[in-house]
Amino acid sequence: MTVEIGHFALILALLVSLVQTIVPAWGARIGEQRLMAVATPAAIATFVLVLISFLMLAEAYVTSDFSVANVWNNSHSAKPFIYRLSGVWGNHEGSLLLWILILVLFGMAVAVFGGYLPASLKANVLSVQGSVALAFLLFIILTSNPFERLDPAPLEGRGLNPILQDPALALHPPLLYAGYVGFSMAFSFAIAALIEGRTDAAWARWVRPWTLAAWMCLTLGIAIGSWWAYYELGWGGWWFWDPVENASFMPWLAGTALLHSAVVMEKRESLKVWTILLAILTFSLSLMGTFLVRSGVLSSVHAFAVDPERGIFILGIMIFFTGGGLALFAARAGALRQGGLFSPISREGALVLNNVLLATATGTVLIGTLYPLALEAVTGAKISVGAPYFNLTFGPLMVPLLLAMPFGSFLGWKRADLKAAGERLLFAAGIALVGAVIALAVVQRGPWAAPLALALGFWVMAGAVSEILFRARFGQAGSAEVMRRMFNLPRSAWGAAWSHFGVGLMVTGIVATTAWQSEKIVALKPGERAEIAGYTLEFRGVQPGRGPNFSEEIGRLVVSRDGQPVTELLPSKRLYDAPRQPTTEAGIHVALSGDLYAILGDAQSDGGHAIRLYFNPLVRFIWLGAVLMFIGGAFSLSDRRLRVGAPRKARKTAAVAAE
Amino acid sequence: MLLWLVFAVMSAGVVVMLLHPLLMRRDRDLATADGAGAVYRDQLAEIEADASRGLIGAEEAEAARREIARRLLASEAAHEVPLSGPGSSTSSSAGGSRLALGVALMTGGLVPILALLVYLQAGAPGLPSQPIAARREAPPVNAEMAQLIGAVEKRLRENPEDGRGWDVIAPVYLRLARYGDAAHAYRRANALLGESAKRLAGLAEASMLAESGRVNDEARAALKKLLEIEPGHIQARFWLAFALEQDGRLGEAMADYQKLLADAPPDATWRPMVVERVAAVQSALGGPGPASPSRESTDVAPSSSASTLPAGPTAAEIEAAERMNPADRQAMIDGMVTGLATRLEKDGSDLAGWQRLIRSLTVLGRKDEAIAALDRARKSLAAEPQALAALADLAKSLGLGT
Amino acid sequence: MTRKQRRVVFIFSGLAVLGLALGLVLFALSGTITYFRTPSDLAQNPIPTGQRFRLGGLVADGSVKRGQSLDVEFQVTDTIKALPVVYRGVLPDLFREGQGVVAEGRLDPDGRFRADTVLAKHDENYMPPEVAKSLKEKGVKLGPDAVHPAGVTAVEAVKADEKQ
Repeated sequence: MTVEIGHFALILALLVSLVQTIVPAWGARIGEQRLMAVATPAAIATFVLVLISFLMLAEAYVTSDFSVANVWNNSHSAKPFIYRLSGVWGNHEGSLLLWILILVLFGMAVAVFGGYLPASLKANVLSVQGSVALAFLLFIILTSNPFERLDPAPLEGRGLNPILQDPALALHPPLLYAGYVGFSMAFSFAIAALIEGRTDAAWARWVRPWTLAAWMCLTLGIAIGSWWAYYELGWGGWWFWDPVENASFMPWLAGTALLHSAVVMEKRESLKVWTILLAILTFSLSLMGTFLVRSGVLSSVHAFAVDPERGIFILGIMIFFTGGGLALFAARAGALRQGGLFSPISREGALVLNNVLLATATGTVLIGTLYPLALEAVTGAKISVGAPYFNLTFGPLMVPLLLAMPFGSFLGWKRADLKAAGERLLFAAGIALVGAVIALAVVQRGPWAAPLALALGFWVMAGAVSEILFRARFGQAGSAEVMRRMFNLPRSAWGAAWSHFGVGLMVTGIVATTAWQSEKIVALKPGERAEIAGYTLEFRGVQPGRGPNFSEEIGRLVVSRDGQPVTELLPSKRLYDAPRQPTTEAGIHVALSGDLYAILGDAQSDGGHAIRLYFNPLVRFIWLGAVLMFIGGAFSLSDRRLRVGAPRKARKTAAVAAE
Repeated sequence: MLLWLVFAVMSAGVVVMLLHPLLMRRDRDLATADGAGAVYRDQLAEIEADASRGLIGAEEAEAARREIARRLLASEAAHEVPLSGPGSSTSSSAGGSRLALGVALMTGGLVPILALLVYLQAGAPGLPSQPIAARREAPPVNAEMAQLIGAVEKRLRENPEDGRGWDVIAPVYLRLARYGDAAHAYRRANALLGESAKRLAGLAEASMLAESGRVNDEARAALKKLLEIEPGHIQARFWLAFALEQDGRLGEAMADYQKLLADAPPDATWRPMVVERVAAVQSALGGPGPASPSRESTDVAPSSSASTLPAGPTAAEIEAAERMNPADRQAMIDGMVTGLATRLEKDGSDLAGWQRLIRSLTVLGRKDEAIAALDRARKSLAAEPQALAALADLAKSLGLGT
Repeated sequence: MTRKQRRVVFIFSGLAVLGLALGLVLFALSGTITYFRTPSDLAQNPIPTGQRFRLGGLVADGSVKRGQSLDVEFQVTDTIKALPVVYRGVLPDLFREGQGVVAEGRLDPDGRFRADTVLAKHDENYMPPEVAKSLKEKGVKLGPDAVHPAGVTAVEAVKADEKQ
C-alpha cells in the first residue's frame, strides 16, 4: 500500500505544480492578490507530496519490496542497510525523484522564508519554479516512473552495481543535485525580474543567498565525486576531463561568475543585464549537464546504461527553459536601466575581469565537451577531446584569474589605486617567490613551469591572508585592536578570504600532483620489494576475505621508509555476490606530503601479482581546498547582510546603527 | 479501501491548502512587504558601520551613501506607482472575489479528479506492498527457498569444488531470474560433474537469458554438445535455428525450422512458436531480398526485444519477460496469449494448449476470460472424459469455480 | 576617463580575452584531438604509426592473454577485422571478453596497438556510444538480439570486404 501512496502523491504533486505554475503568474499579471497568494501553499504542498513519494520509495528499498520494478532492478536484500537506502538514488528513476525533491525543497524555502519579497515578485518566482518542477514531474511520470510494479514479485533483486556501494557515492548525488537545482532559484528570480521589468540592487541581494547555497553544495558535490573516482576507480587520478565531469563543472564555473557579478549588482547596480543573463545560462548549463549525463550522447567512463528516449525528453525541457529564458531576455533586457559607473581599475573592474575569464573558461570547456558531437554531426568523423585540450585552453585562462584574484580584494569600489594595492601585496608576492624557490630546491625535477604554477597557489593563499591582516590593521594597531577588528570584520569578508585561500590550496595540490606524481607497475612475488618516492613496499602475498555481500582477495604490502615501518597497504579485488561483478579497491596511505596508492592486479603465472603503485604528492590539498571553499561559502551565508529583508528586522538594525 | 481513504485524505488536504488563500478575505491585501526599501536601509547602515570602523574613507562613504539614498528614493517611488496606478487594486475587490472563487472551484475540482484519473492509468491499487521480511515469513516455500539458497551458497563458498551443490542451486537461480549466477553455477556443475543433457540445457538457457535472449557462443557450444548427447533434442534444435536467424543466415534458419516442423507431432505444444518463426523469417526473406540479410535484421532488431525473441519452447518466457521493460513485457505476454487463443479457436483438441491458456489468463489477472476459456475448452473437449477431468482439476487448483 | 573611453577599455579587454581564448581553443583542437577508429575503419583509413588515437570495438572471445608478464594482450574486433592490443598495467574491473571497449594509445611498428589507457566503465550494461554506433554501422547487432563478436558473421563480412 505504501508504494501506491507514494505513486499517488507523485501524481498529485504534478497537478499541484501545474496550479503553482499557472495561478500565481496569472494573479501577478492582473494584480489579484488572492491568486498570487496561492503560490505559497502550492509550493509547500508540492514539497510535502514529493517528500511522501520519496519516503515511500525509500521504504520500499529498505524493506526490499521487489514488487516495485525499480527496487528489483537496483537492490538486493543482502545489501547492508545504508546501501539499500542509498540505492534509492543509485539509479535513474530514484535519482530523478531526489532531484525533484531538492527542486521543490528550494521552492518551499522561498515560499516560507520569502516573506520579505514583494508579493508579485514572489508569485512570479514561485510560478517559474513551479514550471520547472512541472516539467520534471511530467518527465518522471511519463518516462521514468519509479513506482512501476511487478506481479508476481520476483524473489530476489538484481543488486546494485557494486561500484556504487560506497559512502562517498551515497553523498555525491544529493549534493550535486542541490547545486544544479539550486541554480534554478537564480533562474526563477531572473525570469521573474524580466517579467516584472524590474531589477535592482535589492534583487541581487535576494538572489545571492540561494546562488551561494547552490554553489556551496555543487563545490562539495564535485569534490566528493572526484575523491570517489580517485579511490574507487583505481586510476590514481582525481579529474579526467570526462564529459560527465565537465557537465557538473560548467555550471560551477558559471555559478562562480554569477556569485561575483551579483556582488557588483548589489553594491553598485551595475552589470544588471549580464547578471540576469548569467543566471539564465547557469541554470541552462545545469540542465545541459543533466541531459549529457542521462542521454548518453557522449562517451563517458562515468556513464551508466542509458535510454536515448529519456535524453530527448530532457533535451526538450532544456530547450524550452533555455530558449524561453533567452527569448524573454532578448525582449526585455533593453529596458533594464544601467546603474553605477566605475573605472577599469576598481573592485568592479576586477570582478568584471573575473567574470570575463570565468565565462570564457566555461566556453572553452563547453566547446571541448560538445565539439566531438558537432564534428560527428557535420563530417561524420569520430574524435574525442581529452585532457590535453583542456589543459591547453583552461589552464592559461586560469593564470590571469589567479594573478588578479588577490588584487581584486584590495581594490576599492568605483575607482582604486593599483599601486597602493600592489604595495600591500608585496608580502604575498614575497611568500609566493620563496615558496617557488623552496619547491624547486626540494624536488629538483619535473617541468620548469611547475614551481611557477605552485607560486601562483601560494600567491593566492598569501593574498587571502594579507587581506584579512590588512583589514584588521595588522602591524599598525596593537594586538588587542587587531583582534577586535578581526572579530568585527563582516562574515562575508571572512567567507571570501576562506574561499580564496581554498582556491590557492587547491591550485597547490593540483600542481604538485600533476607535476610530480610517480607511477610504477611491478610484478611481485611474496617477499619481493618495490620502491617508490622513498617508500619501500614488501609484498606479503594474497589472502582471501569475505565481506557482507562480497568475497575478496586482499594483497598485503608492508610499507617502510628508511628502514622504519610506516604502514600496511591492503589493496584488494572484490567479487560481489549480486550482481556477480568484480571491483578493485585501492590501498591508500594518507600523509600530508602525499598519498601512497596501490592497486592489486592480475595473478601472474609464476606466482607473483601485478601491482600498480602511485605516489600523489599533496593530492589531499585538492579536496581540502574544496572544503575550505565550502566553509567560506557557509561564512558568507551566515552573514547577517544576506538574510536582510524582513522589514521589521531591518528597521531595528537601522535604528541601532543610527544611535 | 484504506488506500482510497488515504488518497481521499491527501487530496482533501491539498485542496484545503490551495483554496485557503483564494477564499480568505484579504483585508491586508496591499500590505506588501517593502523588501527593497529594507535592503537599502540596511545597506546604509552597513556604510555607517564600515565607516565608523575605518574600513572605508569618509569621502567614499559619503558617495556610497548618496548612491544608496538615490536607490531608496527610486524604489519608494516605484512602490507608490502600483497603488495609484492602472486601476488594478480598485477593480480587484468585487471582480477579484468572483475570479478567485472560480479559480478555487476549478482547482478544488480538477486537481483530485485528474490525479485520480492519472493514477488509475498508471497505478496498481490492488497490489499490496511485499517487503521481503513479510514474504519470508508468510509462504513457507519462500522461506525454505531463501534458507536453502543461503545454506548452499555458504557451503559453496567454503567448498567451491562441490559439483552437486552447484547442480542443486543452478535451477533455483534460474527460477529466481538470477541468470548470470545460474549460468555460473551450471558451468561449474558441468565442469565438476561432467556434462549431462539437463545441465547443458540449463546452461544454454541461463546464459541466453543473462544476455536478454541473445544466443551467445557459450549457449551455442552447450546446445551443440547437447545435440551430440541427445540428437533429437527439440529445445537445442530450436535455439540453434534461432541463432542462425540472429546471425542473419535466414535461409539456413528456415531450413532448420522446416525440419523441426516436419518432425513435430501435430499436437506438440511448441509447434506454434516454430510456425511463428517461420513466418517471421519468411517475411524477412521476402521483403528486402537476400542480398544483405544481416544488415536488414540489424535494422529490425534494436527496436524491441519482444518482437524478435520467440516464445521459446521452455518455461523461460516469463523470466525473459521480467527482464524487459514493462510495455514490451505486456506486449509480449499479450501476444503469446492471443496467439494461443486464436490457435485453440481453430483447433480445440489440444488439451495442453487449453490448460496453458487458462493458467496464463489467471496469472495475468484476467479471471473472467479464464473462465470463458474454461467453458470453451469444456465444449471443445466434451467427448474426452479424461480431458474434462484434467480441466476440472486445473479449475480447482486455480480457484476458478466449477 | 570619460564614460566612452571606459567603455572602449572594457570592450577592448573583453575582446582581447575572447580572442586569446579562441586562439587557444583552435590551437588546442588542431593539436590535441584524438581520432576514434574501429579495426576496419583503420584498414580503410590508416593512422600513421606513433599517432595517438582511440580504438573501439569488442574484446574478441578467447583472445585475452594475461599473467605471462605485466603486459596483457587481447584482440579488439568489430567482427570484420581484428587488431591485436597490448596493454601494460591493471585492466579495469569490467573488462571482459565479448564486451565493448575503448582503448587509447598508438600503433607500434609491428602493427600492434599499444594502449596506455583502457577506459573503464561503471556499468556492465553500458556501451560507449561511439563503439555502439560504429558497430551498428557495420551491421553488428547490439542489445538483446546481438550477434556475438566471434559469431559466424565475421566470415561473411570478410568475404564482403574482399569483394569491395
